[in-house]
Amino acid sequence: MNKERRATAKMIKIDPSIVLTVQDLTKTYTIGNSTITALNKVNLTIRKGEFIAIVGPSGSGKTTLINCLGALDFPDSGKIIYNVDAKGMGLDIMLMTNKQHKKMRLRKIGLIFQFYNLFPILTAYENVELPMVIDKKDPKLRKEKVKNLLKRIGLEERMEHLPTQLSGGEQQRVTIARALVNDPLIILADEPTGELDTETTTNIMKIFLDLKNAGESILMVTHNRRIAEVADRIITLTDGEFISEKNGGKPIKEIYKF
Amino acid sequence: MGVILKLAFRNMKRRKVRYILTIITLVISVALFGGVLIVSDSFNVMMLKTIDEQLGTADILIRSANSTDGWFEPDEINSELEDVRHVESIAYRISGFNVYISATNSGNQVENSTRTGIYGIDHQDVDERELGGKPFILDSVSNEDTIEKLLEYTHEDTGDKVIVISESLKIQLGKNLKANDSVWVLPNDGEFLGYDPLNTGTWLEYSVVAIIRDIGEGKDFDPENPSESAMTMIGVGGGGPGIFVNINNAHELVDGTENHTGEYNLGVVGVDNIYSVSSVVENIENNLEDLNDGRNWKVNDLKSSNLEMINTTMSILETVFLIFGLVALILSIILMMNIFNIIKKEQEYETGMFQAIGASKSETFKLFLTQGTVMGIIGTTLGTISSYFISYVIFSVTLQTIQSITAQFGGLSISNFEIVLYPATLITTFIVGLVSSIFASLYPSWKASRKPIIECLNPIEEKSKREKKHYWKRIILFISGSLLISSGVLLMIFTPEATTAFMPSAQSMPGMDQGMVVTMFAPILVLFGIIWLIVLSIKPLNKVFVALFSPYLRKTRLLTEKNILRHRKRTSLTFTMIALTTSFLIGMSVMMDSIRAGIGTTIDDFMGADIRLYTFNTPRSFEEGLLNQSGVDDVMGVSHQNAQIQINNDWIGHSLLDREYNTTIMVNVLDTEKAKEHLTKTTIISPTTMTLIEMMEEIKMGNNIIIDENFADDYNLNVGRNLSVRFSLGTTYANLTAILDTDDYNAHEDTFIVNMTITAIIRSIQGFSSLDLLGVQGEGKSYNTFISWEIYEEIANKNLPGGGTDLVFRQLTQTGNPMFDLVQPNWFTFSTVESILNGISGIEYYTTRMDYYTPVSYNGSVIDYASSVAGIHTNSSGNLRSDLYFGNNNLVSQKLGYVGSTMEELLNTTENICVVDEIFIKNNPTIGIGDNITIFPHQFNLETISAGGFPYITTAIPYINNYTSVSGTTTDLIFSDDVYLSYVSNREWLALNITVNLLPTNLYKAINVTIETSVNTTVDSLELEVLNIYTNTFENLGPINNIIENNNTFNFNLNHYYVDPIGDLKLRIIGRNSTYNGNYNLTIDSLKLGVAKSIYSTITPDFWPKFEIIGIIEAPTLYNTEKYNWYAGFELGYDISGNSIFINYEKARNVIYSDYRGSDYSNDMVTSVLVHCDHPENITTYKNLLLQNLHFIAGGYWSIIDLKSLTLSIRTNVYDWFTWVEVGVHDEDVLEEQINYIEDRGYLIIFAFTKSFMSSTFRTMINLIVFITNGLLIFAIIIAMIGLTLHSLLTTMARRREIGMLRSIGLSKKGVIRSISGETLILALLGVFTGIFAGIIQGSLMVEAMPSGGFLAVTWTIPWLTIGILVLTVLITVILSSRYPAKWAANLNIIDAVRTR
Repeated sequence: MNKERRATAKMIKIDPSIVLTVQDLTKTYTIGNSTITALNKVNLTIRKGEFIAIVGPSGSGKTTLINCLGALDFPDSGKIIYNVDAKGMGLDIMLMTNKQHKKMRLRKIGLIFQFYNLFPILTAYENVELPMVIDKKDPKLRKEKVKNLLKRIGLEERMEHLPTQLSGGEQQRVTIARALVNDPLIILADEPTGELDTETTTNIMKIFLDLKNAGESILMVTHNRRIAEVADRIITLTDGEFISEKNGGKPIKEIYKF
Repeated sequence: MGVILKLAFRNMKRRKVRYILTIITLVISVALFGGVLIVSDSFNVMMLKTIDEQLGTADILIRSANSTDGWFEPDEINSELEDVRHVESIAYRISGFNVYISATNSGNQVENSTRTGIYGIDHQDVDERELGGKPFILDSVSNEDTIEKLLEYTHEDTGDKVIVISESLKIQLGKNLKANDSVWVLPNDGEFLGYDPLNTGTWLEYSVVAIIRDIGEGKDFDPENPSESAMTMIGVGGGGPGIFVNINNAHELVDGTENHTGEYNLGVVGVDNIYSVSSVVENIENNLEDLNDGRNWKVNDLKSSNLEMINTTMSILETVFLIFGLVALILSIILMMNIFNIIKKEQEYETGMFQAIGASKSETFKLFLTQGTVMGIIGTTLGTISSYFISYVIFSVTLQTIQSITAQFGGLSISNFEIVLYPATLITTFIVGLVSSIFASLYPSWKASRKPIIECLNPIEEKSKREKKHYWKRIILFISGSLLISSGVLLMIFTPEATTAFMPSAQSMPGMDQGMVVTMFAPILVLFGIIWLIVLSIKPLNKVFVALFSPYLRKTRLLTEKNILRHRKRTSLTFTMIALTTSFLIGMSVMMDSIRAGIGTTIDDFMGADIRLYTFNTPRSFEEGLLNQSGVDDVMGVSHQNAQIQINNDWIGHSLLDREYNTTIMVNVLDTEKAKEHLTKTTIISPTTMTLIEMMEEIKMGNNIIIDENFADDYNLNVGRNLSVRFSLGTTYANLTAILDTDDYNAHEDTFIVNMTITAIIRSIQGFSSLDLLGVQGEGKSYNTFISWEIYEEIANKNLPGGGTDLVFRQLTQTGNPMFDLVQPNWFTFSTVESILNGISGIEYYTTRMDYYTPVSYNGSVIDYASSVAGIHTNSSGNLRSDLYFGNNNLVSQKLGYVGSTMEELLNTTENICVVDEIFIKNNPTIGIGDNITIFPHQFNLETISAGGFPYITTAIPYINNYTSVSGTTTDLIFSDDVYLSYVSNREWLALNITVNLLPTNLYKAINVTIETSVNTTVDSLELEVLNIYTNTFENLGPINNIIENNNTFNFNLNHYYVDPIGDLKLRIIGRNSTYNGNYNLTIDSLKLGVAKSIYSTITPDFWPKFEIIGIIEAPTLYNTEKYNWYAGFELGYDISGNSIFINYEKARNVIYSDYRGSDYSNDMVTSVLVHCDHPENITTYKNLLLQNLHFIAGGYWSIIDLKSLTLSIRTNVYDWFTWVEVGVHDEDVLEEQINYIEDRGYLIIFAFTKSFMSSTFRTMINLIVFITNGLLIFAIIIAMIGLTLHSLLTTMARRREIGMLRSIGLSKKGVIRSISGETLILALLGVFTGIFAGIIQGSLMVEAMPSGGFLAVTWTIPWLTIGILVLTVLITVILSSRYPAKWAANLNIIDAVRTR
């Protein structure tokens, strides 16, 4: 039995409406002689179509959480169980092989970073298409889907532009489109508006809300408590621990009044 | 296009400058690598072509061993050759014959001609033209460059009778002989064809169309002596005297009385490539064997041995070239790895992103590798194309220099310029380049793909825990570096020292290889080790350099110090690249400058004098003549002798006749006084206090010998040690044929053992460091030893061959042919000379011999009709002594029960016994000790036969084609009177051959002949001649009266042989008519003979006296009288041949030669007398006295052979002349005069050179090597500098954000420039100074590893100029290369910079 099959054998039954559940997630870093606890027994469940915002000051562990959930980094202990087949069969990310991690990032997780993270050498279209190319999707399907996505985010006219020829907001929209292109289970956004002005931030948040309304699950970390208000739930992370949670859902027009 | 390829291309496009620079370095390195491979290939082809052109293109020779003279028709074997794969051309030639050639038409064979080999070629045959090489032409009537074309020349006087001759033949014929001159050739069997040996004007006249150097083409005609020995740059070796003629002329010259038109005796095969020769030989051998025609075909491979030599030479050349090619490639790999490391770092975030969106590690790996591969393909393709141009430059310069050098030496003409492009070489270059570039990108690609995504996306997250491993890692790395140094040092200590050779030669290759390892590879290992260790210690070094540059760096000192070491791997690679290239340059410069600095010493050591002149042999008496020439200060003749030395019961060294050996001991015989004066740079190792003068005095005074340091070291010898030295006193051959064939079976080496004491151990004596160049050193190790002429002459004098025999004399027959009179035995009465002998006081004693030809049989059959049977005295007293006093023969075998250790003691009995020589046994292999042979006794009864009274068979044939008709009886002329034979001629003379066959049941002697002719006044005169079978000439019996018909009776000389073994007596009647204008005729009326008939029948030899063989003595040699017989007319170099039977003198005079027996011993007729004189020095005086007295008192002509003086003179021949010229005199001018002096005396010079010539040639060679090595290394430095530029550029670009930060906190633009350029400068200088340090050590080790006492004298030199230029170049490069990035960095917008991710 190979490693992948062994890992798959350890699948557990979870509520099919749950996209992701996090149990006692702990992550520490050693810098020099000191140990920093970035996450301390964090528990979290995200359901389908839910938009969760995690807020906290710098160094609270937000990005570490995103990295762990995005299979970019791995916790010291705890579980991150993804509903891998969307039918209620969950698998702990810690039990997955590298290959399964790669598949997770490619197909189940849509990552959005603060600094857009586009390939400067590829056009907007190519950047969006890239995950599908890596996933060896049919070119016809790729073309159709990428165009639809770019249309959806309003960049149809600028799809042949290189990232350097796009504004910050446009770049971030391309990043969102790229994150969506393989129909992920969840979108993980790390300070998606951190580099943007208010107007652009509003536009991005509108896109997130549209996505949420379309049934996408979104987990966004941000230090901007105002924009977090648009999320369904707002969880406050301080020193690696969730200290509070409240409901959001405030309309965006109430947050930014132009 | 796949996404990875797309990303790779886009990345490269985005950072095109660095990729282009990287590709340029790759192009340079691949071009260098490919270039040297192409040069290597081109040299290889050039060498093979040169061999083909210079040494003959024939690859295989085919001969038939089982037919007379090897004649065969091409059809017999052609089909067996044509079908063999790789056979390209087949030609047939004539070789193996000798003729006499003269440069004058008014001389005779004895005094004015020389014997030479003749080679006939079908010059118009297409295949022959293919096979013909290009000889080194010294003089020619035309511009043609092949023998074939030269032989097409039609001369206005001689038509197609044109000839090409070898240089050595030219010298023998006369130094002034030149192209277009005539020569006269006596054809084989010329006497039978009417050519008069005594009148060269009757010989065939040929015009010399060209004179060629001995090496080369001539070798292709002689399977026993293939071209290998001739393959040296200086032309040592060669085919010897020879002439080349077209095939028709060859037939005329060699066929003689036979007619072999359309036949050849040598097949020559050319093969399409040299590597197939051995397999073609095998196939031809098989095919010819399958013919089963009883021909015993011999197939000789002429090329494979040369191939081995070329391969060895080329492997060294290739190794040297490859080292440089690989250095370039290694640099390129380092550079690419460095760039990839930077690119990897630059693209780290993108790499993380790539994986974050789902790309796997393998896809990331492929992304980087693709970039390396693309660069590799572009760079390697361009590099492979450029390799042609690089090779063009290297090859053209190298070839030009080599050609000019070889042209100066004049021995070998290097083939024309031709770059050879083998697909395999181009493919190899491409593959090696591509693999190298892929290899260079492998590790960085792998590392990039393995870096955790989170660290790629956020460098701050990089973990510091990895540093924990460094401690152990560094220890291991330090140990590895130390091991590299240790292994290099150990290799230097334990590898056997190289030979003294400088130039590669076939003999010295094994030693050369070991030397190469020591001089090249061991120091390189040490160099790698040093650089390795310095790389590991870069931190403190950096600190030191930064401190030194702190005035320049100012505020950025700390920043620069930290930045240089920030990316340790990248810095180390750039540093290594610079250090490695500079160290190679400096190392090679140290070595070459040291060699250059030592040129003076090298040439002094090599030459020993201003002029060196090497001859085959020249009398030592030439010294005076050479010394008397203008401009000559002093001359020293040196002899090189072979010896063996006994150490711990083993004989070290080899005999001259050994063909396989590992050690050679050369005894150099010196003139101690001249050595004291001129060879003052001699290094004496032991005793340390001994001076050159003392050392020379020592070897002059006693049996003392000087040995070289290597010999002392290898055999643990010290001063004072006594050694048994077996001197070779020369090799003598049984006969001329053996000499020409180097037939060692028929050779004998005279040796003598002397106890000698080591008086000194020297490192070297000037002029004796490289005897292999002089062609006298053999295989394996060679040791030099030195003795004085005084001691050597004493040894040579004391141990002359011939035992007690100083002079041998005999009376010449007077056949009318002086040449054959020398070898024809003649009986004379001893009493007529005995009183003369007794009258010369210095003649102490003598002995006589009865020695004549006679038939010998075994088991009832005659085995030889002309064996030499010699009767020797075994028990005499008084002045007429036993032979025991005269011989020094060695018994090689004897029958048990017979007492005696010498031949004379064995024969001292009344029994019918004999002793034979080795040649007899060789000729009769079924006969041995204990067998009985029978010897025909010379006992004849007189028979007078009247005409018609005896049934002799006669045949009369008109001579050649000068008759118009013959009528009457042409056979059985003497059957009755009035036979009447009419023979009509219309020429100025007529001749009629009459053969009388005396039935050979008994041996006959012709006593007289009576002839009667009809009166015929149509002829002015008639003469009767008879053929002497041993001289092959017709002797005149006298005039026949043509006026009056009567019986003309002529007596035969009883000492001459006229009846051959099958009973034929050949007569010739010559008639002359000076005013012929119509037919005239000769009519013979009757012919009758008087003969003496042996009382023994040749049909039943069982009745001949029987002798049992009880001993065998050594084969005869030229200078050993014991085996001397009547064939030994060695004044002419004629065959001694051996095949002798020695019997007791009593048996000879009573049984075998009883017809010559006198009343007592003094009255016996004998054939030779052996004489012993009081002192060897007086022999010449006694010889002259004897010669006069014998002629005037005894009458007739006498041959006296001085066995000692000539031998002594030969043994003391000089081979090697050292000449010192007066100050202000040009040595080349003196050399020319000396060459003329020696060649005018008919001696051949092997080679000669002057100090100024050697010095300039050597400098040219050194400059060539420096040019090639430095040229290649400069390319390498260009690569390193490009690497440095890239390093500077990329690190600056990678630190854009930091630069912004520095600017934001107040660092000025100048500060940024100082920091950036300071970094590059310090790194470059660190590398350069490390390289200089390591290079000096490497170079010094190479200098140290040069064999001590070897050919090359090195003076350790630091190449300050090169170092200065190097440092300056690097500084300029650094300033220029760091200027752009530094300025770019300084001008960065602060905000843009700090916002850079």
